[in-house]
Amino acid sequence: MTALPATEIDDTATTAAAERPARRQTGAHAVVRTLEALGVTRVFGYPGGAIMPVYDALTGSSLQHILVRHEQAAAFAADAQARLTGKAGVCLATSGPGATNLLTGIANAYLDSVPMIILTGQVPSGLMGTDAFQEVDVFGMSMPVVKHSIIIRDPMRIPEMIAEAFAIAEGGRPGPVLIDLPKDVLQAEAYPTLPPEPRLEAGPSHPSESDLAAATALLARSRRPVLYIGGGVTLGGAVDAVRDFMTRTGIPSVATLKGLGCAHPDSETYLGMLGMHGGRAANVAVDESDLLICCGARFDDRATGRLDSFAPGARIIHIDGDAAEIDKLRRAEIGLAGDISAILAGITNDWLDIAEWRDLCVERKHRHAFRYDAPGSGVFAPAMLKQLSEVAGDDFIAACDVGQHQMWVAQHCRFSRPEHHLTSAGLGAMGYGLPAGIGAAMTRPDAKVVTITGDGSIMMNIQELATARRYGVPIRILLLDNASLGLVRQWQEYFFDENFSEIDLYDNPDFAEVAHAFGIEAFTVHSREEVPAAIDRLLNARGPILAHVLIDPRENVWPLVPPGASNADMMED
Amino acid sequence: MRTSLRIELADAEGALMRLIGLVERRGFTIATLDKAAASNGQSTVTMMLDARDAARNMDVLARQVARLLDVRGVFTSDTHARIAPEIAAEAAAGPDRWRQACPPRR
Repeated sequence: MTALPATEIDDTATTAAAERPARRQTGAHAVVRTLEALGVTRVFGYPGGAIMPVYDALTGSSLQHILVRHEQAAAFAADAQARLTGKAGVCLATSGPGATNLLTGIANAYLDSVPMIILTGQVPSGLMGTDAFQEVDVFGMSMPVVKHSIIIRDPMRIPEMIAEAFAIAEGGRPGPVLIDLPKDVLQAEAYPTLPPEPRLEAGPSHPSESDLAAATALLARSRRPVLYIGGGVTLGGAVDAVRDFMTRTGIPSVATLKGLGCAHPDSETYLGMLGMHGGRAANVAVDESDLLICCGARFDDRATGRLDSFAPGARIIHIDGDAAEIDKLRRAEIGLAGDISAILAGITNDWLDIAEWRDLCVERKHRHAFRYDAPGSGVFAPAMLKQLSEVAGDDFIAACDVGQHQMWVAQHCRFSRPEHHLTSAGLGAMGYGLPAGIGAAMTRPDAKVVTITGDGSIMMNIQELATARRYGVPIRILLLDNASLGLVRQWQEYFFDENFSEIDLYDNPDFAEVAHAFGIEAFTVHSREEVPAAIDRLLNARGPILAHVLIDPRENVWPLVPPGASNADMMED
Repeated sequence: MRTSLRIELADAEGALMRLIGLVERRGFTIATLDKAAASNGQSTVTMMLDARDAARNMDVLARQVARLLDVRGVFTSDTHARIAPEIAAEAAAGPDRWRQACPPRR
């Protein structure tokens, strides 16, 4: 079946409304006009009582509203758009359940430092605090997971406050900003005006010459340095600077889940992902290093394993755009907060003598490379993912869900840019992949956007197949079905004495038939010999398409660092 | 160890709740809290804090507090704590008892 092109969507109601006489301008109009003035072209949302004035004002607007089928998906789709563009994604929902349904998406954006504007309707000001219908204090509930939040109480300040919210979301270390909009404010008379220039956060500071000299001196004394790359490199616009630094110094590098794609994928000295599911070459290099140059990473427990045995012999140079990350978990001999590109450019390597170390790391990288010659005729997911990303090329964008497939993507896919790897890294939210893929494919319809999901994860937001169908989104969905919650099953196998508790999804629906029911092209892959044709069909599809791939439920993710262990003590197949 | 933190806080809706929530969430208990009445759109909050465990670092907390948009300044009384280089200049210029832990955001 083919998807309905966007142009065939019935919008006669919208057209008729646009031809009505001009109406009184309200706070809701000010919201819409301000978004337009700020250059927003698309919002993801779901209507409801308190936000209805905004939906009324959307009529005739240049904004494209994408109607999702659950508010959480609006947040995830806006998140993906933001990661690809660097500009704040926008989502909106009504008060009460609409707002609470957004919270997981807001937390996801917060933990991965994604710029996002969340507009929530609220009950009228006079009813706030009275337990009114669909009233929840989303302003209070969201505080731990937003960069900032505001309640707009004066309709005349709407342009100014929304403009400031965008500046906050996108400035410094990015993050989500929630704007709560009481219904009476949205309905009050207001005169939309151009938003003023927002007050900007202070730009990144620049390190002193003495700090850079100290870092250079520490590097010159090192014989086994490792560059530890995190997502802060992308946030700081320092991908090119990191690649230049790697080329100039030849220092072996490793990356966190969010740091994947920062190093050039063909770099010989790039050793891969470190941490719980990192490769042996990467984890051993960090373990043996005498100097760890942490660049935009935060010593997250998934990357470090047992913290007190992480890089035990290494001194630390910690470079980050956010001063609050320095010393948070591991004391740094030198902490450099500011513009990552400027800092890396200021560290010279005239006396660096690491040829022997570099050669050892590269030799280990080849010796411990992943193998793809799994026995049997069934689909071997790591091999399929590797092949998929290589065939798709530099325009490959993966929107991952959470589970074994997420780790296989991190281990085996090739990413030309870090923005092309969309993953719920900090929160680990199942259900991210499909709506994120929709947001990504609408943002980059020219790219090869593939949602990679599992049979557990896709059921968390499977209703969004309707969104993909409605808008004819060019999204490819690769569903790896092992009829279980695979990563939980793997942990139960090794760390809970094989007590397999509530992980069996034997009664999954036929996912290809489910996709067909939504009007989406779909097919099932049963064996390894079908893989090349399946990849070809997926990547050449013009509309939404789903490949339902049956894999061995016993397949695990290797290597694995056991909980509470050092990264040097990884388990392998 | 008990340490004092002094925060200059904008008189904005939710600012105090946001500050208290962050301090608690980042691993400190608030032993005492004093807030002066707002003047010129700003008030001063002084807190005595106890870390929940030895790994909690007051300087890191000060920087996390300074990230809040409503915070105009952060001062600690712990003059012996290690501070990051970018803050050193601010610290050196601060008053004797209260060390400015972070420069203002805006």
